[in-house]
Amino acid sequence: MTNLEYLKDIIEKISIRDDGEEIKALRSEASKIEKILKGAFKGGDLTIKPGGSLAKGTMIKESYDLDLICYFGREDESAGKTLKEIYDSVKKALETDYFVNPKKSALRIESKQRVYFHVDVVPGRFVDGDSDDVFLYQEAGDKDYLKTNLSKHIDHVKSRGKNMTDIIKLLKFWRERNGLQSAKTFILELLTIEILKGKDLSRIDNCLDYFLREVSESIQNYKIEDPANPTGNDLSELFNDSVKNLMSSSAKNSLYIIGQQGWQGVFGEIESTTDDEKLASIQKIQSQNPGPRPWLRK
Amino acid sequence: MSSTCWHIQNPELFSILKKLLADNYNGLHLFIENNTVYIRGNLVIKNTEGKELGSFEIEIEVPANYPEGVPIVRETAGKLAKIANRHFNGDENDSACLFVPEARFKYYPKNSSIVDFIEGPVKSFFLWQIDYDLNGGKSSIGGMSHGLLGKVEFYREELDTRDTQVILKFIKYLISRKIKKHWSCYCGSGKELRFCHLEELLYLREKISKKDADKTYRELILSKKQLQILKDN
Repeated sequence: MTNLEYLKDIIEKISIRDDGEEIKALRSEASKIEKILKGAFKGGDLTIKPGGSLAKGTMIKESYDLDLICYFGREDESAGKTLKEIYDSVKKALETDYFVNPKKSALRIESKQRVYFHVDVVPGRFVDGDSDDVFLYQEAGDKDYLKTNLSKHIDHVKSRGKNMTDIIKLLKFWRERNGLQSAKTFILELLTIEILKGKDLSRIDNCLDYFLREVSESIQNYKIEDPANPTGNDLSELFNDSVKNLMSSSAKNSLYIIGQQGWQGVFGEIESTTDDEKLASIQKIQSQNPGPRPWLRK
Repeated sequence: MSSTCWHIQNPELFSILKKLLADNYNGLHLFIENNTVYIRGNLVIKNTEGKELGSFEIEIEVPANYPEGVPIVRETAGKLAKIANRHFNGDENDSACLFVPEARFKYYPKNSSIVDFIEGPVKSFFLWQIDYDLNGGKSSIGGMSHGLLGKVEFYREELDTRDTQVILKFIKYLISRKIKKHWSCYCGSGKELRFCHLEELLYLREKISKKDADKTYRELILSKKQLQILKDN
């Protein structure tokens, strides 16, 4: 099997199919949220739709969240006059049904039944009636609002084609396996596009190799900017030296592993272990080397 | 607690920790925030043949009294519900409850390295979580009961008895400042300790933390109701 064939199999393994259970569950939760918000802001001029990796086609099984945008029309005051009021009203509307954890601009909602899913609801207001530009409230940062544009973000990724979205999926998988959660998806996407600018994307293996080399040796030379707001959205806090150093050392380490074991050393086996195999393995571990059984302080 | 973090007071120890992590785990990294050292990242659980069984996003808070204290472990992706059945303490940090305090000497003895901790109690905890999910919310490995009963179970297993009076006497001997060999054995045989379980007692007195044993003893004698609960279980 060639490197390219192996990586394509890994993409297949980590991708979430459009008709997959994960997407169905997220869409069902999204409908529930939409109903709650439309009920709370009756008659409001609301646009509610998925953003993030679901919209960009870069979602992976290893780590998938749903970003659900909830934008109000420019003149709509059903949720409040200011961005802060909108943010707080949306939070309040969701709190009856969910645990709501406020993030910088989004509201992370979690199930009260303790079922795992992560949905980030992003409240905002359209700048005007002519464009997709929106203002988001910011809880932290040097200013309390941020101008952004979801369509531009989606287009920035999707317009590069399927090879690019596949490469981003692989790099998100690389991030997860290397514990680089501090490198946010938005940053990873922008950096990938920047580093691979002008490259032949059909050779995914070469692109990945080039990306890792650039990150390991020259990440400090790369500047990234928000395509929806190049001058107004300062990404230096998200793409800081700590993130760069961590990515650089992990890339160096991955290149070493690839040199020793091939790509499999970085991305693992193509075939997943079945549940029965896992259970048999657990029994074997327990019989050979039983560890502590967990307790609870109470 | 000192205002200076241990990693500044003891840079050598910190660099050993850093090297151990780098040498053993691609996915785990060190962070220092608010004078506290954290290990964060991805922990892969593998079987004996090296095949992957699962992976978890975790955080290990290295205590200020490292390497003396037990690090605090958390699952940070939110994929595991932080419920009592999964052995997550209901504290504000949703920390994982890895083992009964008295059992520390078996699974994370003093002078162990952070790798011993991760390879032992941490991986066991997350293996348990995989087992729990595969069995539809009921682990085949089994967990210790929650609270005091779990601690009593530990003593039951160590002493191979279900007699709470024996356990109480044993713990009393554990926490006594001195042991007299002519004392009657805790096992209830009527023999003097020196002719019965003295060796076992001395071994466990050395291994089990007096502080932990004392806490359990106080909880046990706190109320007769507690003892009744234990009898019923």
